[in-house]
Amino acid sequence: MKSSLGTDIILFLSFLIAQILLSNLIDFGPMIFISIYPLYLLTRPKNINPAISMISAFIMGLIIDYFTGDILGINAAAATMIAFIQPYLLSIVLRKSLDEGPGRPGMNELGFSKFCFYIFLGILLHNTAIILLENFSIHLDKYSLIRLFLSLALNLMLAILIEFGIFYKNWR
Amino acid sequence: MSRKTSAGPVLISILVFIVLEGGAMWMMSKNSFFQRAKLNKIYTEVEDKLLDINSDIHYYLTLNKSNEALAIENSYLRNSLAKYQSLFDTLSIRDSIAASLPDSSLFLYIPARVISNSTNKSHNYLILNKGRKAGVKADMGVISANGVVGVVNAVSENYSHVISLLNLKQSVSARIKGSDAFGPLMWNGVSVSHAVLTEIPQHIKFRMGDSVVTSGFSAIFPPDIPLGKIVGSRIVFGTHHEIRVKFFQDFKTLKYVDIVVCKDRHEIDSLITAGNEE
Repeated sequence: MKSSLGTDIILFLSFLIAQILLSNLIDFGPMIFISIYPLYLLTRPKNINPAISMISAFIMGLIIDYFTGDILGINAAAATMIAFIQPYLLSIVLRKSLDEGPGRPGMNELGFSKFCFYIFLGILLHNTAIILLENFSIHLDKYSLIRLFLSLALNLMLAILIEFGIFYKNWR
Repeated sequence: MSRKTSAGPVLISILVFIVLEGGAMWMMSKNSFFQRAKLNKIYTEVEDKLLDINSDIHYYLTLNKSNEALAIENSYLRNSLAKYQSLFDTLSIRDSIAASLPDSSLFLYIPARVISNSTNKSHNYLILNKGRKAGVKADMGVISANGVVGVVNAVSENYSHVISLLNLKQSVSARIKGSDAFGPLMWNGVSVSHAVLTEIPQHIKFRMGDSVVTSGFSAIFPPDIPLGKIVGSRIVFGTHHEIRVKFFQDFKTLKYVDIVVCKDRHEIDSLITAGNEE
């Protein structure tokens, strides 16, 4: 799948709307929060300019914050962080330089197990960042750990399902 | 598109990252009381640290001034002490009516700072920052908190030239504390921290570590100014002791001194001259 600016904008808007709708329509209580947009940030093409990637992630997080009633800036900070570390995370998973390999690091290109590992690391970092920013401390207490575990499980499942259902071509 | 690994893009992305995260934090602190309180706490802690460092730096920078202030206060205290000592001496004489004298102390002190000082020659000198304007005259004594420093040799308007005690031409009349035997204390030009006290009669008893003080038999130095302690002795010609004295004063770190003004100096001098002429 060749990535272009058009598809990137469409994906940006789709994930944005889906995230806002999901967060507003489904309420799992205080122990679980839904975040599917990290999947979009993590599967952006590798050749994208990192500064543009971070700025668009920041804007995306800010819009999500605004429409979901979260503390303004919390998703923006976490999204920017994910956009910043995405290239490094990918190079850890691929274990080769960033120039090699396909454009979009999805399940198609990485393979199932590598993709799951990659997306697990990314979402773990994102959800940890969200919880730490909410607590505004570097300590994770028991309550926060349970919250992290439950949210991580749900968000990981959602991400793999979305990737498998929408982006994975070999399946059809 | 192949990406080159160079520092430029990485630096830019790190910069953008920091700016964006900072913006997000700022927004969080604006929109949530909890986050704002936490940020304020961190901010206050950092501010306290900075203020602490600032006050430390200020303290070190003003040490010079406080030293000067202390030196002036020291002189003032010396002056009052001398005054009360003389009052006390007068009062302890029975049936005396001299107590009605308002100020009968013999010595006054002028604080001064050492501008230049040498210790590595056989004739060492000091320059002090007080001169004729401050009332300094030639042949006045110079002391510090740890003992005798020297004698004023020449004065200009604002400065005075002092012959250091570390000078082969200079001697001080000294005595061993606890006995009344006295003799000249002279530097022998060997060590910066040692001098020799001579002409102490052989029968005088003393011990190692005994203090040597000024005798007061001159109009230059007040009595009982500490000079040093005895660290060794030998008998010369079978008649008198030659005593090695270690200075209390470290001449290499000399900074603040007091110039001794003897108020009756003129009277004493003219008396000596008159006595010599007869």
